[in-house]
Amino acid sequence: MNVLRAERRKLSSTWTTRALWFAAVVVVVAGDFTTVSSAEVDTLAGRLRDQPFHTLTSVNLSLFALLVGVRSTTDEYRYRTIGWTMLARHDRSRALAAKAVVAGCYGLLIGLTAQAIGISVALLTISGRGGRLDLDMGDVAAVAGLTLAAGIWAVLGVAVGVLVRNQVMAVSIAIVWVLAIENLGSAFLGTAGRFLPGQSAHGLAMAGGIDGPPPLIALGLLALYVALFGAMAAHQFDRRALSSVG
Amino acid sequence: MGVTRITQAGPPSEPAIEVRGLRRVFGSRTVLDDVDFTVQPGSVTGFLGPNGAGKSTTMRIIVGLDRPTAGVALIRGDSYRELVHPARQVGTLIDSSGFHPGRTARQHLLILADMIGTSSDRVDQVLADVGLLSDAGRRVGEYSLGMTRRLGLASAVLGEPDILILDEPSNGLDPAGIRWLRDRLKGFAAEGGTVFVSSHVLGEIAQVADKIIVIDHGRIIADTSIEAFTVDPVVVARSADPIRFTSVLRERGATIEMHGDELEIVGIAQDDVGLVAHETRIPLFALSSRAQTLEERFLRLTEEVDERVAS
Repeated sequence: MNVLRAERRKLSSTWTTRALWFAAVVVVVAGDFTTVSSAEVDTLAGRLRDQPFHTLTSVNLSLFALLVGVRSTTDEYRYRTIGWTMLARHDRSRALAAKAVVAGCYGLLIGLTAQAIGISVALLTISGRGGRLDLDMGDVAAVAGLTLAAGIWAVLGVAVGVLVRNQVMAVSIAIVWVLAIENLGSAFLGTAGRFLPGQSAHGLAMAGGIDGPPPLIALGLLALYVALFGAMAAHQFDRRALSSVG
Repeated sequence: MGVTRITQAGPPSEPAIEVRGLRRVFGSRTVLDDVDFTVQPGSVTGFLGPNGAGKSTTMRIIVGLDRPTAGVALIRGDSYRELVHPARQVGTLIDSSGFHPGRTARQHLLILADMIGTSSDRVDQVLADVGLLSDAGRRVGEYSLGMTRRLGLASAVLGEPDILILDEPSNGLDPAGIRWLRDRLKGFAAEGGTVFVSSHVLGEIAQVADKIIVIDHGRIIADTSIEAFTVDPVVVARSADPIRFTSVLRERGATIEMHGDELEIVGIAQDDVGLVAHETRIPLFALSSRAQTLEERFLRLTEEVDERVAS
């Protein structure tokens, strides 16, 4: 528990985590409001998960949750605090696992709060424009799926941060991946594009308008991505000579 | 590479730190080559060497931050990574700039206390001990270099270790800070702790260390007490023909430095210098001797090694 507490303190003791959280909420709310405001009134009906704003939220949260994870590890290399972590713990895989768990929890919290506020604003706007959504348990599952996907993105971000280490490079890769490569992949890779991490996350969130895999298969795929990237990151974290220390 | 090796037998107790056959190769560059030494418990051991000699690499390997190509580095018989609570046995200061500038000193130490598994009550104790308690709520980014050094030392002693491994802890400290550090290290050793410290401030090492280990070009070139290291005196002579006198003395194995018309001679006793002058009929105006400083001995030794490596 001490290791988890240490990792929680690391994330909560710097302003960038709070800034990313705040930015995620603002971007999601602004996206939801803009999408709903500009839509035709007769499309503002049916299920929440089929609404374009839900899909946009899925994209936005993917990026911010990934950045939270990336930051949690690249900050350690950037500010050279990684040495203290390595000196304090000889079981480095456990330290990395704690980092992933805490980043994942932050991803869940960011996903939950951003959606709670974003959906509330969207529903009020839809109501104000004379539209009406028929919420069902599937929508609850979609929101839960998107929240879970945000947590998983944050865990993947931890692994990316270990593998890339350079903060600017890792953040750039995260942004390009979520906003460009995922779209290009889904457009040009055909069926294989459905199984990219981003498409799998959209599948878990049951996002309408995206041809992602079914939720359970999406969850399985994301678990595979976490296992794959996690294993590579654990190997690097443990084996790499820490030339950046000292 | 033939290098001078000065050794002195230590007391027959289990070493606090033992390094055997350590070798580290980066690509085609050999940074450490067959490094052997021990650090005895309850002592202060200075680890000296020019920049790039291999000091930091050796220390990083001892505390498991780097892996040797060959050889072992042990803490009381175990490798660092085999220690159950490493930071409670060995306090380390390798990279004293390793602080997040957005965190306060207290936050940094609370994180460390959680990772080490030590009580958070220790945080204020060590902050008070290093004189940072009143600044504990300030962001480390606002700290002076001296304050970050103190925070580094607070981090090293947080787990109440009985071995300290410190890489250049006095860098950036003002004279008061250096004195403060010296007193802390002496006090730590007086209470039975073991200190293994590298430094470029040789005068400080001379005042605090019981023993020194000198490394150059990745090899240990001296491992002895400071008294034994500096036992050869420096003979100071003024001659009517310093060029010829220097040449004659060098032929007899002396190491000589010229400072104006004064020659500083090491490797030949004062009486023998006088006899050489008499035999060669070179007039001397002055002849005396004085103790050699650690810095002089260190520089001479590393220059000798440089010459051997170059040849």
